[in-house]
Amino acid sequence: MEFALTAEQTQLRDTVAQFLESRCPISHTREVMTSTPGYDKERWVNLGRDMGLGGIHAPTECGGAGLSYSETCIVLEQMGNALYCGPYFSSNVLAVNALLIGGTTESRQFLADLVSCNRTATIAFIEEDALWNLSGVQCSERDGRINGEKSYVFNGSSADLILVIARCQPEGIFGLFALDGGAKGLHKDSVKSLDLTRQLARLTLKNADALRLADWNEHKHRQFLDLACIALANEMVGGAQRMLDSALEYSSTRVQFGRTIGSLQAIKHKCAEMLLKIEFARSAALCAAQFVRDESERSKMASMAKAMASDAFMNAASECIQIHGGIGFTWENDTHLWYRRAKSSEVYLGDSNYHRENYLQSLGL
Amino acid sequence: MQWTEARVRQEVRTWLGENWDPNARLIEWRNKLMDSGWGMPAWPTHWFGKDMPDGLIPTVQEEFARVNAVGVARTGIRLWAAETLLAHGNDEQRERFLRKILTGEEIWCQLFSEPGSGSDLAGVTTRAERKGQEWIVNGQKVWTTSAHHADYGLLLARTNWDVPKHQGMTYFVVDMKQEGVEVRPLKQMNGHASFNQVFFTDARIPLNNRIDEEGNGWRVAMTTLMHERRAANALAGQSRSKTPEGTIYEEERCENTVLSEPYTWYPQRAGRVDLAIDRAAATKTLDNPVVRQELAQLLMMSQCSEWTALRARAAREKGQPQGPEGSLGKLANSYIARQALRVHTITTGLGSMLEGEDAPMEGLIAEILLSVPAISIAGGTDEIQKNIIAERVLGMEKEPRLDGGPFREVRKN
Repeated sequence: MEFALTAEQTQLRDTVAQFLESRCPISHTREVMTSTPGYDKERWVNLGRDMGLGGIHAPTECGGAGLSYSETCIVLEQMGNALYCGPYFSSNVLAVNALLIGGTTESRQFLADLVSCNRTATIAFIEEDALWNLSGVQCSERDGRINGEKSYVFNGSSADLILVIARCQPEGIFGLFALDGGAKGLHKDSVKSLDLTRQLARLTLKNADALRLADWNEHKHRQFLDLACIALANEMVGGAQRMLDSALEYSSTRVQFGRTIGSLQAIKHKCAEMLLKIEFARSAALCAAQFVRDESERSKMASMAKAMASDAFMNAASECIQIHGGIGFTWENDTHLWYRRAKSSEVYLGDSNYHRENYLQSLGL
Repeated sequence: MQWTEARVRQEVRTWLGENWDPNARLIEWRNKLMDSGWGMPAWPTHWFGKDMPDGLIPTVQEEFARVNAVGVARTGIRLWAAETLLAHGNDEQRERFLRKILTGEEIWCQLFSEPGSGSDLAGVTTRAERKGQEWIVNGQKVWTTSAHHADYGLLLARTNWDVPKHQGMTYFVVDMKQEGVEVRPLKQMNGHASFNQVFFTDARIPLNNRIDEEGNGWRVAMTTLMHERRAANALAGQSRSKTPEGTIYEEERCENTVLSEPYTWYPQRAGRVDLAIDRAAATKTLDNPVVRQELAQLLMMSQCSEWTALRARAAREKGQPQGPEGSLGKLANSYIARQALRVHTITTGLGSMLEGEDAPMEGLIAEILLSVPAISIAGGTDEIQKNIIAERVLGMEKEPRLDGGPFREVRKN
């Protein structure tokens, strides 16, 4: 296992950080998050196509960069730090992962389009009775048409291509399907999301036309969820770090009782604890990214990364508001935008209680 | 001639091949180590060493381990006493003390903490006054490991009360076997008595036992503490799993039994994470969802802490700037120990009300419950540790101080 970034990885991290800082500052995010489609398409194309980040871990024959999942996670960490608002996570990570895991020629045919940012895609896999498993999935396909409902679909209203997990014939078989964003029988309801930088939709499918890409099963679904957890954990570590940095910056300038509040031990101790939790989460996220091909360890590492990151980010965001005091609770102050991301990411893909339980089960306990 | 890994390996192998004898007398063998430079290879050649860069020391240790050769004495505070005297002592002091510290013939202790100065170590009020050809010491030290065995002590004492607190201390070597030095055991809340209180009543120190300049004591003490921290970090993985054949190991074991006695409860102080899973299984609490949550949290923290330390090491090895990950170990260990205590309590249940031989695991669980509170105090409290992290790692502003000016006028206990 590698415990330090290589020179190339450091360079990648710094390049992405610089771009996001100059081109996607939080003022820009505030503008685009309330627009339609809820993100700046040009910036997304800059990142995905111009900077070549559209399919970092996708193989080169599909137009990807052919790098490892660690590099994808390095980019996501910076996006979490900057609170990047765009379909990168849903399209270039989740959808790309699903197509790669699908593994068939049919599923791979869409990869080039996603990697080059010609189209945005998302994946609809959550149902009210099927959060993180396949057994409760009600959506079903018959004769190329899908019926059912999917919830919590990232960028579901704006995506050009929608991947759907559904039951198919014969009984007990699942498939990965592709639908055009404008398919007949597909109803997309935007729902108001707590995280203002991540658009959510509820999809209702009534005899919607769908193309079957690949078989799907518990094993593939587990792999998909593990990779999603690892990606999200890395993004969350970036967000948590930003909260600590913001708290440090504010506490070094805010003066009360004739001294900076950062010179008070009450604030120092909060920051030291934030740091400890963040560094633990960073270790877990960094290491988990290196286990994506290890069938026996992957789930365990993914659960550890997601649990540690969920708690570290939520703690950092809450403490950041607290350290800012009254101003931290205002709309004008940016902290709540990260707090919203932290809360939303905390429960997405399962909260830390769920993943601690998963972790023990992966240990055979 | 430059040291290279290949050359080190070959030379140490040859030397061990010609000299190592598992049936040699322990002191005789260690004198050989001191004479040859293989005992402390990172030290200068004219002071028992070989001028070897730190990076090659593991190679020497590997070769020693390969043939189970015994090294210099490392029990207690020896290494950091020796490093301090090497760095700050004069040639006469080095000549007099270094060899017997490392052969194990003389036992040393460290006299820094006082009842009135714990976290604020620079507030020591044990006084040393110069009278003619010697220094006269009066005062009290505490938390002194092995003081009842020690031949000599490293003493931090105040010699000037009219300058700011950090400038008025001087560092001495004090003879512990003299009238005027009284050692009393200090019984802890867990029942052990690993430390001592040391009372000085007109104890005498010859002039040439002053280490470094008068008033430089704080700087010398910092060297000692730096080596203590380094030794603590290097401690892992030093123990031999099985004692090999040879009379020298018998002598080594006797030495260790006496001097390691104060440390037998240290693993319990760290929470015994290694027992957690087995305890949950043995107490049939693995199906309790609260136990499962707390246990998983403990195992994850423990794993993440290990990885965080490895990240610090990897960054060091790659020559990357030191990140915050290197300063968190001590604080991390406190949190892990407390989490372990929580797990042991909920798995053990009512058995946590018992102590002694009839208690769960013959009292081991009770010892954990009663020892963990020490880990967030010993060697720097969590609160001080957080201040250090906040100020040195996160760059937060220092707290305004109220202890400037002549020490005489500073508020004290």
